[in-house]
Amino acid sequence: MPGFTPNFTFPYPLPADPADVPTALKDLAESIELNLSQTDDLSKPRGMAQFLGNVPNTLAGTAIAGSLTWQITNFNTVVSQFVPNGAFPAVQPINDASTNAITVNHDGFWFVFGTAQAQSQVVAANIDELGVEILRNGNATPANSRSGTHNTVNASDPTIVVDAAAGIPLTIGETSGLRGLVRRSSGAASVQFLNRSITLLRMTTS
Amino acid sequence: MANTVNRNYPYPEYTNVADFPAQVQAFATAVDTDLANNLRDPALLALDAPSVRAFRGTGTQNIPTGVNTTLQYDLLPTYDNDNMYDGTVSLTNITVQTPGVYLITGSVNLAQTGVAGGSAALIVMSSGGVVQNPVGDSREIDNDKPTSISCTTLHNVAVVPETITMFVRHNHAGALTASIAQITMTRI
Repeated sequence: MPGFTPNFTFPYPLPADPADVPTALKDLAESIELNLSQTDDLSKPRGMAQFLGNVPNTLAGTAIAGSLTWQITNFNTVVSQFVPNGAFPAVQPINDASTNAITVNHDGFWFVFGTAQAQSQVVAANIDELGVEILRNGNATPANSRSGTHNTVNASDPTIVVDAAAGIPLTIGETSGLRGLVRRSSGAASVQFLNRSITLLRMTTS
Repeated sequence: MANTVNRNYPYPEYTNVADFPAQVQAFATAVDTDLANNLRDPALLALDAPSVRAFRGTGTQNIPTGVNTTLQYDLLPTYDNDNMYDGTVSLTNITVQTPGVYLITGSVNLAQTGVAGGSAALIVMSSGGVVQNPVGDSREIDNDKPTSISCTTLHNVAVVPETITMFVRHNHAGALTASIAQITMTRI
């Protein structure tokens, strides 16, 4: 019976074993190869994903908030198959242009960053604020992170850009998303959120 | 016995006494230790970056005009895997325990007062001074809508412990009230 190393159980012959150098070297080489491949796989990038939205999302009438949708997958890494729930992409792929909730495939502390462009407004639209906030399972309560601007009128620029970020603990199957915010002093002017992105980085495993 | 140049793995030379079991064991053990210490363990460690999130979800904080007011958070952090936030010691301080480059983001909501005017800024501070560029963000104050500010930056913590805080400063005519505030730090 061979001996084994403590970490990866690489086999090596003991003095009492039959002298069979070729077999001993073969067993050792194959064990190193297998374990090295598995260990190297751990060095894959952490779970992370980024989605883009380019279909205008309209907040019409007196609506003050609406979840933004995602159409384009920029990246969605597949983590190591040798970690719990491994060999799956960081988050569930999106196949529907109306997707507004990004479902994570792994437990962990996730850093979520979202940014969105919104139309500049005319003074008569009476838009007091344009903003975004990070959602957890569709909710912004308790708040994750919110950011908005009161400078919504800018005739020389086509868009207003707002962004928010937060670290939020998520377990497998939970979701994150980004919500557009509109605050009007009066009236019911529509607001369109245009190009946007949401990025999720899995920073821990639990 | 001789050793390989890069990983220092032992191997017998022609002049060594032939002791195949001992020599293979020495080689296998060296590879085993090297892979564990220099490949597997760092890879596993990197999966769990030191991270913290402190958050104030209840209560409010008075922010006087023209004063750097450090934001406070709830007693318990939302998340902390490196003993960076202890609300029993300080409700304002994130104390970084592990050197490295950190992704920092924070946000604060300021209630409307019924009067417009002035601007408010959210600034990230370290015990070594203001966190380097970009340090924060600012917003103008509306009369009847809250003001929500967030900022995100990268910051290198070279020497620990280093304390990270956030403060609000504004020049509104009268004090403002901060409600929700949060700070997240995670090492990249």
